[in-house]
Amino acid sequence: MRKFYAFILLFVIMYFILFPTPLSKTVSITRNWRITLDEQSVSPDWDDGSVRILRSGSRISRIDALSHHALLDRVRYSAAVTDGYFINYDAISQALVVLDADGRYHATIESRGYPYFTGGRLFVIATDRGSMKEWSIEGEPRSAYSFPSTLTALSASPGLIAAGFLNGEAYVYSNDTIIPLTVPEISRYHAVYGIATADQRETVAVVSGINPQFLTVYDKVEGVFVPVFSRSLEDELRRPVYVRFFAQDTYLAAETSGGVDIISVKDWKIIRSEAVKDVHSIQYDHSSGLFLLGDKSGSLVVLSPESAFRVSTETALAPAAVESMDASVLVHSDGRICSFSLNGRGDS
Amino acid sequence: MRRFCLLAFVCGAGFVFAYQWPVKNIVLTGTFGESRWTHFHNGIDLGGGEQDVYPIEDGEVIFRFEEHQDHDGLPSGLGSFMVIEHRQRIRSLYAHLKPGSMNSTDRSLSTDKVLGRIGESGGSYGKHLHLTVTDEDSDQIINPLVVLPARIDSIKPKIIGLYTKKGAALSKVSSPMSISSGTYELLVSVQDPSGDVGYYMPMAPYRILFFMNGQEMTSYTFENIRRKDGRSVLYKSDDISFSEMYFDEWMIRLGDVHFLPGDTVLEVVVTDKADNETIRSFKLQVGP
Repeated sequence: MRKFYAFILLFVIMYFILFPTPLSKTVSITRNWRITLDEQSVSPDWDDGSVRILRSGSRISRIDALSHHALLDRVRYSAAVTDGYFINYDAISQALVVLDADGRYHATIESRGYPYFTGGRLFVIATDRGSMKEWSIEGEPRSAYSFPSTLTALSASPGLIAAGFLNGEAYVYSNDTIIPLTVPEISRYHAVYGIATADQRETVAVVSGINPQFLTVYDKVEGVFVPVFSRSLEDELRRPVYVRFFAQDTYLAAETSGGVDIISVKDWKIIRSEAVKDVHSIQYDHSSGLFLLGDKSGSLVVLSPESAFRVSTETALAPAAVESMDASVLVHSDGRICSFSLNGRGDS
Repeated sequence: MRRFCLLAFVCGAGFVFAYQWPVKNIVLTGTFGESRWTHFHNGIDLGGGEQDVYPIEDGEVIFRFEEHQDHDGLPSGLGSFMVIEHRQRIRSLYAHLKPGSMNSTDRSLSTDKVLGRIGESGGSYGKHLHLTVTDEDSDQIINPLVVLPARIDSIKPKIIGLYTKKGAALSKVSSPMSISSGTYELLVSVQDPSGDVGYYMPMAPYRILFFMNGQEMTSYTFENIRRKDGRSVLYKSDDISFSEMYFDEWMIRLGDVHFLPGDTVLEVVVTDKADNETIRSFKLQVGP
């Protein structure tokens, strides 16, 4: 009998060695349809209600709750998009024009520079990234910021602004005070590559340094931001690094050299690490809590804290926007819109 | 004193470490300290058409930004740019590179390795390379012409005009000229034309000196920009800020002077980095 149990135990061990449980569940994703977004696809019958503006490659479009799409404008040089408004601008502008979701004039921002929406706020960044000014969506100037070095990362929430710089320094700007963040000093080279602010708490995440590169998270305690979590990353990225809080600040997503880690804010443990080679696009959909990662080979990964789905596309898709609709995910990529149904989502 | 020693070291380092020009065909189209409407131009611009760009010295690539590619979406007037750290924590930044041309694999680059090609990404009026050099230890932006090898330049800077300003009245100073006594703001319009191109931005010279009756009143040296009290200021020039220095894109403030009745001699001396010098004197008869 003892030999029998030993045999069973050996069998179980061998099974897990030979057939390891995959980290993420791979589920077939069915591509439903594909359209080409152009002037012909303008739908005249808009309903009032939820409307989003999407910048997808060279096009700015709007989508309503019934999945009607309309081309609003073609991107001249670049475009900044937020809920209900967008700014289509030239490489060199003397003023920026805010248009609404119907493409109608809303306001003028009297500023040279480059617009950026983050945390529902509008910033115009100077050409040399050495300063910026906040503006209201109505074109009223707010606070101006002069930076100690070239701006490399910026994130804002309603209560604070976090900025990282090429010289390795990072600051939080809050209520006319400037609070420095103490980044790890032991890196050989100093620069800030990514920064994120939580929406509902005074927490900031910073990716900084080379050799090694660190992800550090800070909480505000008695007026200063103190590190509550820091880890050295296995490898390093020498370009802007994607990092953001999501799902009501329950999780932190951080790009790594090999993909994306999802970290629980509760205990700062990595709960999912999804390998994607050569990530060149990351999009996040608020309503579903899904991330969409695209790589240069055409693979897409739909990622959530609970599961991950992987699909190969016929051609390389650089997702410019992602959104969920029922059990589908719409991927916008330079005028094309692909809808993927997520069969089995939530089963894992 | 410590900062001065660091600065002297950095300036000397240019010769010791023998930085090289980042392009083969050197066409200077913009200089350090020029007005860029809201801020000092913090580097130099090099034209010469689309050509390969090389590091000014061996170094470690510490930052790459590819326009319209990097997914953080932070807009960049610098377009596609790369930053390299060299010895002594000197850094060089190469901006407006041609999209897709940037070396995206090497972590360190030697001076014979192409880092990218000149382009016009970002806020650019044409194909050119913007080069910024910084000293991380002293936290200063350095005029690249101070550390790069000297280039042949036989064209003298120009003094377009000297101006007095009282209230809203702006008057060009001629010589000789009569003027009422009182306090005036003095402004000067200068350029350092480049023989490389027929057009130019209002290129800043290397040094501007202003004398009244032989006494130095103002001295500006376009050598270093540093941070002070949250502003970018010109080091070695009374830490003057951009808005304090530039009246507009073309005119530089020299400060307030008080003219007393009698003869007064004003002199403006402008020097470029190749030591070409232009001097203009203005004789004023100051009435009561």
